[in-house]
Amino acid sequence: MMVPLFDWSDIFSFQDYGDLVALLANSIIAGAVLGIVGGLIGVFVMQRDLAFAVHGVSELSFAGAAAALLFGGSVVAGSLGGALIAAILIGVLGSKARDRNSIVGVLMPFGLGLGILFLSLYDGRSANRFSLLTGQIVSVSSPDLGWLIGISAAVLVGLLLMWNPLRFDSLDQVAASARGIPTRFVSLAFMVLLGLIVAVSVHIIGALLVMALLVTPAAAAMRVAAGPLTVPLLAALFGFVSAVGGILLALAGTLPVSPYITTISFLIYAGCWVVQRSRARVKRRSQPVTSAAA
Amino acid sequence: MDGTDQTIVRTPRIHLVRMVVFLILVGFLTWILQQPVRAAFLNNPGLNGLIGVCLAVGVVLALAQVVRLFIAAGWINAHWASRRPGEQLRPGRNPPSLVRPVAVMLADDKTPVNATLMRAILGLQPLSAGSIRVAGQPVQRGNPRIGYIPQQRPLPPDTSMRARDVVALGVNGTRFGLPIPRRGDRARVDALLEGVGAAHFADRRVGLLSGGEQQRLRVGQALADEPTLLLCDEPLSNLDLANQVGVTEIIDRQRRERDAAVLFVTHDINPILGRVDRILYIAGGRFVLGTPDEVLQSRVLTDLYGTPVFVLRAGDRLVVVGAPDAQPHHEHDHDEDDA
Repeated sequence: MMVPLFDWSDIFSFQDYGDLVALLANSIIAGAVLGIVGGLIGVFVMQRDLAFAVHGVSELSFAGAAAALLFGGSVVAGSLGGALIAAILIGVLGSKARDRNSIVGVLMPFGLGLGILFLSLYDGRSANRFSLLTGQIVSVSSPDLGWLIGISAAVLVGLLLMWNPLRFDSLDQVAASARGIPTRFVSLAFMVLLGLIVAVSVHIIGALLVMALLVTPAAAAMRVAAGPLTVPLLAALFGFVSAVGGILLALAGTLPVSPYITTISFLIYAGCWVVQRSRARVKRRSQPVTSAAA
Repeated sequence: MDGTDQTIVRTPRIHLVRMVVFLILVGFLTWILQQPVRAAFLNNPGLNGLIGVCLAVGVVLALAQVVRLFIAAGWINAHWASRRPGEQLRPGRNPPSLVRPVAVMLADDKTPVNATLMRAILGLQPLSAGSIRVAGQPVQRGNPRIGYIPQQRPLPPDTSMRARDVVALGVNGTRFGLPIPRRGDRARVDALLEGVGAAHFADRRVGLLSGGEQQRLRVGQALADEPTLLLCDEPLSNLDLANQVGVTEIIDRQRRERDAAVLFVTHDINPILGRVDRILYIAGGRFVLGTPDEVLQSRVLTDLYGTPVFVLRAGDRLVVVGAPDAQPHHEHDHDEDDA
């Protein structure tokens, strides 16, 4: 007789679902806000070629959180500190793409190693250790959740206030500075916002998986749209669906949240890719000669 | 197109109706959301503090809107308030351009003297000595009287912008604050697109456009504020011959119709030869300044380079043979020195 490796009820079970949702309303709201803000900021991450930097910042954020765990501080404050230090370092030292990649490449293993060192010195609850790397929103305490939501909202406001100059700067830094945009300030402010939102996502999906909310939704949106309004809106929608959908699905099973979020976000990207491909094929078939002539 | 008719007069306009609708919407949303939000965060001091901060930011923004309203109504006489590019650009109020519309060309340098000069005029490069005045005023960062046309570098194919959005950045790209479009922005962008011959691909993705099409958009972006001085930094490099002619034509039209001065950096003299008043020829740390006929002579350039150089004419075209620094460096990358 075959014994199944896992029980389906671990993955989906909708008993007492309503109660669970009510209990975890704060987590769901945090996921929703992060999804939206992550999608929006992701558009600029893609445009400014910062995906690798996001990963580096998240590892330093993990180290900060681990240090806070070891020395008994606030984990949220620790992750914020780590992320901000990394973001500002990258922003100041790595304004050229090649410099930036080498700096991130140097910072990332250092941060990860530091974090693992702190975690192995820490002899508290072991559940906390793993959750920083792979995320577990349901284990975040209620006041901390409040902070996460508040920080995400602040990042959203900051992003909207410098939306146009940031777009200009991301497209063409030379022209933007010629027009009098303080490009250095804009880049640095963007890195600070990025650091803040990375620190938030470390708590929700974990340091190793932040890209699923900060890069994938925007990348997916850019596959199917081009407008200045449609891309950010789609990216925000994709981020929202991934984060909230992932949390809601995770509530139905006993598995951690992150795999659900990353899977949804990946599926959305794959869907957008298929849409783009089929569109391109239709276009090619409909006007094969004119496009070649133009 | 007649230059005087086209001069854009933009005064700050407040959209009362839009503001009222916005406030009603915000109020309605707050009212709808207050119950669930309160229930969710009742025991959450940290969040309450942050909500307070957000509210304070909102109040400040609203106050700023009210101040703008008063300024627009003329109740506050504030020059500082409407220093936005282009808004005060009425004929007669500002002194017209440089002494005379002049097109100067810089050619053939190995050191990035041209880049430094442009950055100095744009106010991005401090001078070690001397001073620069643009239209009678000292240089300043973000001078709306100056339009800057950078070198053509291909935009990444996945850039999430349409052609129209690149030009629109010239109109709204310097505005901090909520990205709410203003009345007249769209018409202005349409006019700019028309002016650079980009109307028929206005809604296509920029990443998929050809180099010439992208460069027209950059020109349109630079013309957004009706500049009286156009700085063109190798705008024709990487373009094919037809596009070189097209882009030159647009820039020259701006010079004629708006009485604008043009400073045009290039390594290839030919595309603009008939339209240049004066040439500043830089080579090996020295320069010659004069009319094209004065400068583009074998004797003058031989003296400048210090080795025998021949200027050969073929029809209305011209070739400089034997210049020691023969390899043109098209990709003098600005990111490198700007960073």
